Amino acid sequence: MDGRAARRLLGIPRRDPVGALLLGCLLVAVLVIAAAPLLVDADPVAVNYLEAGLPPSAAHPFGTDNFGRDILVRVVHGGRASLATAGVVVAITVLTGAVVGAVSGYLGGWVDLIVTRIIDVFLAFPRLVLAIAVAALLDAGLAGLVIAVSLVSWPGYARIVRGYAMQLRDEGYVVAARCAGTSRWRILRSHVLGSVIGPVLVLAMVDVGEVILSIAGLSFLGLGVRPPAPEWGGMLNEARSFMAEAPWMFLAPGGAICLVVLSVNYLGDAVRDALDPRRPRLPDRWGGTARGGAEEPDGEVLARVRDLDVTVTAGAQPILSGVCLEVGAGECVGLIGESGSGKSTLALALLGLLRPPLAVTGGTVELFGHDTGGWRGEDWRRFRGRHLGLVGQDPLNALNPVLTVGTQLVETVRAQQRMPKAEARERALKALDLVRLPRRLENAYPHQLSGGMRQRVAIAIALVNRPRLLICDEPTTALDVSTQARILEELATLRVSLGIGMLFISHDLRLVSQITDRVAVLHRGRIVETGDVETIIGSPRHPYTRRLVAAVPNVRVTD
Amino acid sequence: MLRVRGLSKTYGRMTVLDDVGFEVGAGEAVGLIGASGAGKTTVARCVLGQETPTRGEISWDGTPVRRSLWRTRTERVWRRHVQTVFQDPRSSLNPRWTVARSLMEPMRNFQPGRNERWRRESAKALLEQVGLDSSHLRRYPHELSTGQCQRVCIARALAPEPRLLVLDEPLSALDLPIQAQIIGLLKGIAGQRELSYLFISHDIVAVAELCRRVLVLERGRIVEEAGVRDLLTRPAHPHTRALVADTPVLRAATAAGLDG
Repeated sequence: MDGRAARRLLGIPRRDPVGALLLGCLLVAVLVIAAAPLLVDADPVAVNYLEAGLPPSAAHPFGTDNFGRDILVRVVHGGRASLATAGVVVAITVLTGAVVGAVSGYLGGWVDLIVTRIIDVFLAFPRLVLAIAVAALLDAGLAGLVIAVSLVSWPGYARIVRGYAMQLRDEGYVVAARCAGTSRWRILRSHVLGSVIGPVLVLAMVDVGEVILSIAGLSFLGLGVRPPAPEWGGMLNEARSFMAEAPWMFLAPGGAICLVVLSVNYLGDAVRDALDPRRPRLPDRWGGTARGGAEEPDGEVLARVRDLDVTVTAGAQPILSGVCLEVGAGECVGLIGESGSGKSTLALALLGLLRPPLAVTGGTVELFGHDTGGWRGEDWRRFRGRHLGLVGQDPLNALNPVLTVGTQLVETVRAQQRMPKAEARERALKALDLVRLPRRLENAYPHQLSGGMRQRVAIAIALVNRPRLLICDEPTTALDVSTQARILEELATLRVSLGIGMLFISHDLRLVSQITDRVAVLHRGRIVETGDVETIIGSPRHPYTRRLVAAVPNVRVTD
Repeated sequence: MLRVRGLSKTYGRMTVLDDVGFEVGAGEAVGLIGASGAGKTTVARCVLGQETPTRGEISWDGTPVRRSLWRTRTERVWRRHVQTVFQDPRSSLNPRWTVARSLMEPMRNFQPGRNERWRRESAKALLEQVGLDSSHLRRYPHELSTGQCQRVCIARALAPEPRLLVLDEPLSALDLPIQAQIIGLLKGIAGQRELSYLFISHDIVAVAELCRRVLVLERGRIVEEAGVRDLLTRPAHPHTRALVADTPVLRAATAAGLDG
């Protein structure tokens, strides 16, 4: 952990008062329980039938149990057994699970084979039954209990951590660390365990509650802490028989477990957030099925954006400000800008896909002659994929890896138009013809295709419903030059033969110049210049456009 | 300095590299171009010792080197002197680590004798060399732009004072203006220290900016090796001709005679 991570951790109370309160409770609980013998001089096991079953009063704040023992005293003393055991068990399981899982997942090969077999054997038994058997075998007592519960819990962790470690093995920064000469053990220690520890901690904290209850269960069977020694789970079991007559008997230990589990869960979340410097993503807000009166498309102008402002709700800085853009029927407009200029945000705005924290704060987006300002989820859904198509940057992300190409095409057709499957399939095959892929590929999965073929499939999906406007967001960035040239030719031909309008978004002026009629230059959220391609390249007016033109690598030979 | 002879690599029945041979001299920049799937990255991985070749030999300073479980002295020298920069700068930095920690990782491995203060000073100096400053030391990768991340990756590769940098598509994730900046930076660094480049790319134009000698890889074989001027003006092999022809050009550029 570095300085900034520590500061994030220490900054929690300021940011989240409820969380701070929970942490305070946990701290107080742990301190009181640890110092129990000093604070409370009453004996937690001494029986006094004169005071049996008394409700809460000044002398006994939580009442007394059926043997006349003070429940507060028993809860405080019982916490020692419950918390200490749960703490030790969780520490052992997390440590063993994380180390075994990380080693097995990262090293792979025969180490992994042996370890996974062992884990499988453990997981094949019901958890609690195995724990009972082990505890009985080891002779009862707290130590036996700890060993039994740990032994049945670690394989679950090991399996989760192994999965993470296997993913990390090919992660860019782990490969980079190997190239930087970091030894295997060091990579395991720093990169792998460092990445895994966050999710594992959260899991462990959630598990604390479960462990307390497993211990209670085993104690109930006489395999752990034996009555009359106080223990939270054991107390709950005793209270069960007196639920109706003396509800306070289970309220106190139940409340204690609840409070501890709640605070510990919060602690887990807080530590995870502190270890991961990236902010968690905000949840998506789906449009739902509400309708706001979108009509059938008409008009010659496919898309018209007027004075569009898009802002990050949290911050004041605008992503797009005062953007105006028009795409006419059959026209191909280029949008050029560097990453961070707001190109993709504009594409999302045109598709109605802006999600918090991004929001339209001014201006209008008109599609096919209709203002989209009042459109809700269902209105957009009817237009996206039907009248508007999108081809994104990475075809591997755009395609579903577990469905065949044909299924995805048919799905796209049937999402928009009611028709029998056979007819939809015929359309799907036609779309494959359109992008010049053999029809037999309808049975192929995305991973069986090359990058260029995948992008053709993505184009086929975008075009299968014959949209009038196609938005291409860096459609060739993930491809090599030859494939790029082919895809570009393909798009140019399709545009003319189908007569669709196109918005071609790219950072590469060379590509934009080849395919588009008109270019808009986007710089820091503003359109700084618009014009036909020849003018923009030949006599750029804005200094930024001049820089863009100058950055185009012409074949300059070094010698 | 680096000599690769008869390098072959097969995965199961699939041959990825077939009898690849080339040399990189001290202070030389060599380009390696090819379409995706041609085996470019496999060459890089073999040269970096991340992959054991099926056949063939890689020698460093005249001594054959091989990756092994227990690293010999020659292997350590080789690994220290050959460093790399990857295609995606964001994924090649640990998102949970600050720039300082990422930069100091190779120093810890290759210069274990130095203390923390020396490392911090070196990290600062490296950042300045790649056009960033010490205020970036405490940043996390997500707080940097992609171009800045790539600069950090270059700084990290320079940390163990390598003699050869293997650049595996280092520009593909960057915008054109940033690409030009990074090429300028790489040129500048090569001028300051005795550093060779093996520049891997599918983009012949980017390679031409930095390298004089270019190897063309097609389906695991080197089909052409030529000076960059010859390659662009008189490509011999049909595959090279196709690559040159497919390289995008500005539509009006040739007519307007822009950019000299």
